[in-house]
Amino acid sequence: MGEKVDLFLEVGPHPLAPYGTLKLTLGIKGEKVECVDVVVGYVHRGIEKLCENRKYLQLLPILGKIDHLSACSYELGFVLAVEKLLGIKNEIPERANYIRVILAELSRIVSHLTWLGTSAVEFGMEKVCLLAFEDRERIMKLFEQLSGTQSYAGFIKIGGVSQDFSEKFLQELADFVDEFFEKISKYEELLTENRVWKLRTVGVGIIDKDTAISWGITGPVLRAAGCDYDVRKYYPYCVYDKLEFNVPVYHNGDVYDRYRVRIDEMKESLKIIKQCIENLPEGNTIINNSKFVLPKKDEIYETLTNLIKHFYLTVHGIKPPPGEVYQAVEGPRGELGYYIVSNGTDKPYRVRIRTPSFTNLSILPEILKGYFLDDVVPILNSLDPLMGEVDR
Amino acid sequence: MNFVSSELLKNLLKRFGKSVERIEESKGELSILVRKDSLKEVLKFLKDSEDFQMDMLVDLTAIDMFPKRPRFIVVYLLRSLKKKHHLRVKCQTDEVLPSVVDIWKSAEWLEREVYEMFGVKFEGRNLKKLLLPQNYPYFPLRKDFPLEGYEKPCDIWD
Repeated sequence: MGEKVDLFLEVGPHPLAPYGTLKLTLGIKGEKVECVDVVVGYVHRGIEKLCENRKYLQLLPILGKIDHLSACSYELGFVLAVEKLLGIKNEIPERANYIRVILAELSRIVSHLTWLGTSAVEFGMEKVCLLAFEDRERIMKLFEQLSGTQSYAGFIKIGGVSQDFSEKFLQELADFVDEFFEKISKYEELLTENRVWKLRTVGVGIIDKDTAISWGITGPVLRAAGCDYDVRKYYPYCVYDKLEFNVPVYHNGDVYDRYRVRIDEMKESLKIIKQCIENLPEGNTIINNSKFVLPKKDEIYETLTNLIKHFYLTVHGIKPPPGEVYQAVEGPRGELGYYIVSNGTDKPYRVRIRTPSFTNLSILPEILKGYFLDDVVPILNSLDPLMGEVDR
Repeated sequence: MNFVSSELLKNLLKRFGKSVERIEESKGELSILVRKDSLKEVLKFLKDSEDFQMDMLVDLTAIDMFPKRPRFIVVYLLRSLKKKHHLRVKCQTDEVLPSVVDIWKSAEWLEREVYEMFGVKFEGRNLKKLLLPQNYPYFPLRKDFPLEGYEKPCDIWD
């Protein structure tokens, strides 16, 4: 911060938008931003340290809390990594895989809707925000029906999913998908050709493809810059290789294109959910292996063997063989990776969580330079950072 | 996830045979352990060579092997978007490693995080702490740091 500036403006750490607490120190010359310092870490909870001190079965509830908008993606990533470590990747029932995909895509829609509503309200478009949050509420209600909580479904378990979908839930989900297709076109009507929206977003906050790749950026921000990298297509997990969907790619890399990518992604997510509902196979939802899976609660009360199994697994935990794995899933904001090192005990030796927001936010000082003060919040919001994810 | 093919790895070993200490494989994932003094050379080669084209540094982290020596293993996960392959490069160190921020920009924050959590320094960089308070005296992800922490935190917050 050696340049000559008129004043330093401290923004935050009180939240500007719902992503959480972040402090920006902007060096301003005239109306333009000359230099930026980003201070993060206000919600650092030391989750990686916690992971080293908990058993594998105890970790799922903690990991969901990294991200309050798409907890399912975080659970899914961890579960897939542990399954890879245990070598039971191919034994997971097909029905469980479809259910996992439905949950992950629903949480992607929740996250994108929250982003859409909050970035529209920054330009004074309250109507879009109200509509978006109304739809978000509907998905939250669906989650509540499944598990009793709105954000942290806690549905995905090592070896499958904890329960089956009921007929009533599937019917409501199908109804929602049909209605939401039309709702999305309403957002597009309100925003895509909106003069104010275009004036504020087209040509703002440009990131070109090579810069984005060098900064390690993934997700909608990278796809808006013209690169088609999507973990679901490049390295399919669960059943994504059996489903038909496109990866939306735009080439200008500005705030407007990131909006277009996210809107298109919601449509693709709906397509995926629709296919999953149609093709949902019959069968078990969790593997039948008492080494990794706790027996069901009502079974524990009925037979002694199940009680012993439950006790044994709770006390001794899962013990994966020594080794290391990296497993990535496509979260709503980009590539979400788990690097787990096991030393053969019931606790992981090291869990590294590669969060998309962390790397996406690191480019911020670079791209804010030279833009007007008014553009700071739209650019920041278009990266869609979530501080719980950045700080962990 | 695809890792680099065995032919490519052979080529790499031909070129950097002395610098690569060990090749490890776990669950189909390849990692090479590189000597500290030639780490930067190997990484630069992986980025620039036609066969590898590792244009993305996906993740940079460290593992504390306390009480072994050298204490830390720093792990670089590299990806090529064009060739669609990965390679994990590891390097053992006690304290200092060369910085790779001039090769991949994403190391900017990742190196700062590794420094504040493990105390591994990166040469040629004036490292500021990222998530923790600037005058926090401990490195919390080290194995000898207790889960509960040590002290009354009141006078360190900035």
